[in-house]
Amino acid sequence: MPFFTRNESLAKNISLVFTMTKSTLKSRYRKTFAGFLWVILNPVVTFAVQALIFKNILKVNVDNYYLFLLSGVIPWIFIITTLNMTASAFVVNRSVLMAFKLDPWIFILSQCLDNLITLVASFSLLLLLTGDINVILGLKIPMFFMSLCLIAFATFFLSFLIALTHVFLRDTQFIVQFLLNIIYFITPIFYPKELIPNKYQWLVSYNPLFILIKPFQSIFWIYDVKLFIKDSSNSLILISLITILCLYFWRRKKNDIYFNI
Amino acid sequence: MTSTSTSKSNIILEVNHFSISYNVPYYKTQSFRDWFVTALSSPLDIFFKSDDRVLLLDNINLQIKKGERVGILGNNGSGKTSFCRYIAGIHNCRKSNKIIINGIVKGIFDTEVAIFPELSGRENLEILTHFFYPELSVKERNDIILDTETFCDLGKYIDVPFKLYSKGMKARLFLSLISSRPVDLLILDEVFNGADYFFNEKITKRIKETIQKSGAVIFVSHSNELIEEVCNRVIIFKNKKIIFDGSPKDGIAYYKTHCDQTSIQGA
Repeated sequence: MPFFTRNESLAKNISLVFTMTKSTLKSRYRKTFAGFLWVILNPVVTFAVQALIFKNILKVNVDNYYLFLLSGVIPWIFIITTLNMTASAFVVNRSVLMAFKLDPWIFILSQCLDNLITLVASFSLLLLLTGDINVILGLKIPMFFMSLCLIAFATFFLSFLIALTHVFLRDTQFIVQFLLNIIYFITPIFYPKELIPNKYQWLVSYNPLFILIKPFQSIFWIYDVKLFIKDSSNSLILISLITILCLYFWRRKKNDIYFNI
Repeated sequence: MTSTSTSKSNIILEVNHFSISYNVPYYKTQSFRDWFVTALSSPLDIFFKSDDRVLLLDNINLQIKKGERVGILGNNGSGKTSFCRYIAGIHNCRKSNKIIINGIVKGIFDTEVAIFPELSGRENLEILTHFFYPELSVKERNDIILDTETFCDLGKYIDVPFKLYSKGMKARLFLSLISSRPVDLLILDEVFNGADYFFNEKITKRIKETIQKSGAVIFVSHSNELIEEVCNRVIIFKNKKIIFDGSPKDGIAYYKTHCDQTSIQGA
């Protein structure tokens, strides 16, 4: 069986993903006072707190610090939230997977889309607040859209890989959380990468999450089209590697997951 | 799994050389004394004890033709539900296992699963309709939702969070949905539990009508009376094989005399 079809067309599965995404959003904010506001409130507050600490208290010396922080922190929140929420997706949804003919990736993609809505909503709001006029005029929108596609694809396949591994190795969820905590400190999203000594620069160069975040920084902070193309190409190479790994693992393990979840 | 919809053959389902095996882990509670003895006698077992590989079904061959209502009997753990899940396409088949289906299969295995417990019965119904009928248009699905809402008789409780539903209320929703239109192969796996006496009469009548209109039916139940009432053919699973294939009356008699065991197979 290929990765996509279970005799239903991709279009029908996508329609199901949208319905699931809508229901996930509804379910999450039902009975909350602020409702859909929480979608943007959480990343906006995180951004505001980090901005206050690093810019005003620790006096980090970076030009256009708010744009720098925005282009790093909001995509970062998207990646880690999605990875944390989907790590145990197959195990948590065991009863649904055992009762209905469903492609398991539907759970991952709907969660990914749910978080992508948060990313776009909070990013747009903060951009308006920081007053980047080029975006308002639409000059950066195509590049922003490309960066969103790249980060969404990469996070989806990475989440799928982690959720699949978690079925067979239940330590995965804890290992992922542990690694994300470490990676947070070696990812230059709230301080400039020049602060890291030369001998440790490889930690930044080979940091997969930073590779996915860099296109955002090249558009919104540096605004260099050539750099954006270079960073996007690197992201694309990374996505290809993750996708190949994910499909390889899926092909090997797809027959065993149902007896292990 | 191979599926075609163009065949004019009378055969709805064909299963050839089908086997199921899986790993079974054991988490046996040990006293400190037992653990100490194991640690001394075979220390590697503590860290690297491999799971048992269990063969659940071995080389099953089966054909189901149009008009057949096949009841599956077998003791707990004999592989009835797993077999049905493979047919329904829930589990992925290995290349060596061949299941050929001429048409669309719908199966119901669990009437208690809550997809979004916080959402209302109506909102969960929308998702469930998507799960069960992905091949239908939005309008057709909406018609099914309306029909289900009316038939399940939940009244204003259709807008209550699904997490507050009783077992019977969930069963009402699921059974009303699955029985709303006939399919080529319908699988019902021990689904007549939970609903109250009066709704059970109502839903049994409707499911029987759906069964009559469907191409073929696989019906798993531990109720011999229901099997005899609904089915026109019975197969029995025991010791990884189909040990009986015949009429319901003979099948039930055979089951009672040949499957009298209280322990789980392989235990």
